[in-house]
Amino acid sequence: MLVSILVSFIVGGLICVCGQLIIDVFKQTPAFMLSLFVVIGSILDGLGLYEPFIDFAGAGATVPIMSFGNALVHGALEEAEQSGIIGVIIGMFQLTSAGITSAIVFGMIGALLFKPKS
Amino acid sequence: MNIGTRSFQFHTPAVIIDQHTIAGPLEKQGNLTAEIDQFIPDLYDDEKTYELCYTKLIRQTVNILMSRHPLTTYLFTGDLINQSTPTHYGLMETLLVPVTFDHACATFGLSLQSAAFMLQQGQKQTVMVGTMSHFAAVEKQFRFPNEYGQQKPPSSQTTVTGGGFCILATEGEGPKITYATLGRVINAGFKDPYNMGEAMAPACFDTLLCHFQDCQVTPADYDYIITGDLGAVGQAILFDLLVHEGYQVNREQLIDAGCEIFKDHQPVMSGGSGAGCLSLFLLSHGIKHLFKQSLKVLVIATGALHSPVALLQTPIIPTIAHLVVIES
Amino acid sequence: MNNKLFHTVAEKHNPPRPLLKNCVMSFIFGGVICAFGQCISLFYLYFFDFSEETVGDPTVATLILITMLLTGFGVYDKIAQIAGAGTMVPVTGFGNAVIASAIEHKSEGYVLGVGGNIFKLAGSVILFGVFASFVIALIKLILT
Repeated sequence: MLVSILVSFIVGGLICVCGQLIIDVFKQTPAFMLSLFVVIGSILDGLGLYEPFIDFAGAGATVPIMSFGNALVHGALEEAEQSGIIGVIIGMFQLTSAGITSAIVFGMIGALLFKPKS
Repeated sequence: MNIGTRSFQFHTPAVIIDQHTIAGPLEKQGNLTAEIDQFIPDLYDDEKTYELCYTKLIRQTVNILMSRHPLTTYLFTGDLINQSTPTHYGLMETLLVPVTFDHACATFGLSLQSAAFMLQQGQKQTVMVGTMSHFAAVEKQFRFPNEYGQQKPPSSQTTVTGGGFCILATEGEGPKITYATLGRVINAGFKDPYNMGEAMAPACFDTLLCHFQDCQVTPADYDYIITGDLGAVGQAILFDLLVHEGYQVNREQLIDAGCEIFKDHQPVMSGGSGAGCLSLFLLSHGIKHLFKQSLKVLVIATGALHSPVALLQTPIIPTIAHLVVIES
Repeated sequence: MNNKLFHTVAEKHNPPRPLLKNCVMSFIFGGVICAFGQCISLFYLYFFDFSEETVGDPTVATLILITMLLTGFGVYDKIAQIAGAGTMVPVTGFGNAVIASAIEHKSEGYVLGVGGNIFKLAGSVILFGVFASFVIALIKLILT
């Protein structure tokens, strides 16, 4: 248990360092870096590498934004197995709905509860 | 009187006879606490939104000065929000005629120049000049939502909350505006929106050179060269450029309003910026401390003329700098 | 005007980004957020009826809930100034982008303000994520 926490700390931290390097060394905007990470996540899942990575790192692989790309591809492919090529469109958000829905719902709640603070 | 290419000498100098400054909580912890007239407790000041607070800052300051000088007719100003809405909304209850400029942080310089030109007409009148900025409202307009977690690099600057308005007249006691040099739009090829100092320093340098050549003067003829909001980065660049050009200039001679307002340990990165930065410094510390002595000072307001949309379409930051000479 | 001179002088005075400090901080903060996510996962695994595969959903939702509170109280952007990518890359950064936009544009009303701007910052992540995934899923389907 402790080992899994430690592994996710190190793996998650290293992914964040990669992001920091993209911003600071390659002088890219955060939005570009995040979009790139999502695309990398979906490519990795397309190659079948992201699932073993999650088995190894746990939350270290599921919490960084790369897992969003992974979940998109995964949902699309799972649904495509059952309903053919149209499944790519049906299943795209199947596994990512937790992140997007909670961001939208909590965004609305946040807007209702809070005032902007600088 | 026109001198050289872009410089003017005023035969009846405009005199700064009265002023009022207002600032926010972060500025209250800074260097000018004793010299700023009024502070607001937070960035809302009992208003519903940041933009309304911006409007209130302008309305309050204008009303205070109008109560003391009710015959004032024109207000030369401008702010950083679309079409100067905070200014125009703030003037709804006054009889002032607004003359607004869109020169970002250089607005105060152009406003002083334009007011001085108007007072050349020879009529006995008073005009109001001033600028205001509001950190959170400007941040929302130019960058990201205030709560968004982004990391600002050390070259970035922090918009000042606050500013100052003053009354200019043809006669009276106070520092006088004797010369003006107008700036032109400079594109030095810089495009980093988090490093305004490097983008604005060339414009400042260009206007300074033009002034030195037009008026046949050198930095040694002036006690101080007060720049608007170059920040620590831009100020260092300007100093190097002047030295490179062969001018004798002391490091102590250069004062940057953005660097002076805040203390070193405050989290403002390279210094303050914004339309209100120079007016806040000049009308508080300048009037109450510097101009008490007999001085001849160059005041240069520098501004970046980009907008978030323009910067995404054409990655260029054009800049401008307007100069006035103030003597006391 | 001598742009080359301007660039040489500006390069000399441009303060370098504290790369080492930024990397260490993003490692620590990013690592802590992921480790915290792992703790939440373990909590849901032991005390609730979740499997290894489904535990990701409540974990993400919990992290975004915490992000909402930190963003609303104006703490998240202060942490992010220190943590850099450490708070951007985890899913909390995605949540922060959505929630910050929603709160900031509340002043323009709920329909056009919040509704129109909520994906102002997070939109690019969703767009490129979905488009890339669509293409990749299609390629994979055609190849297999």
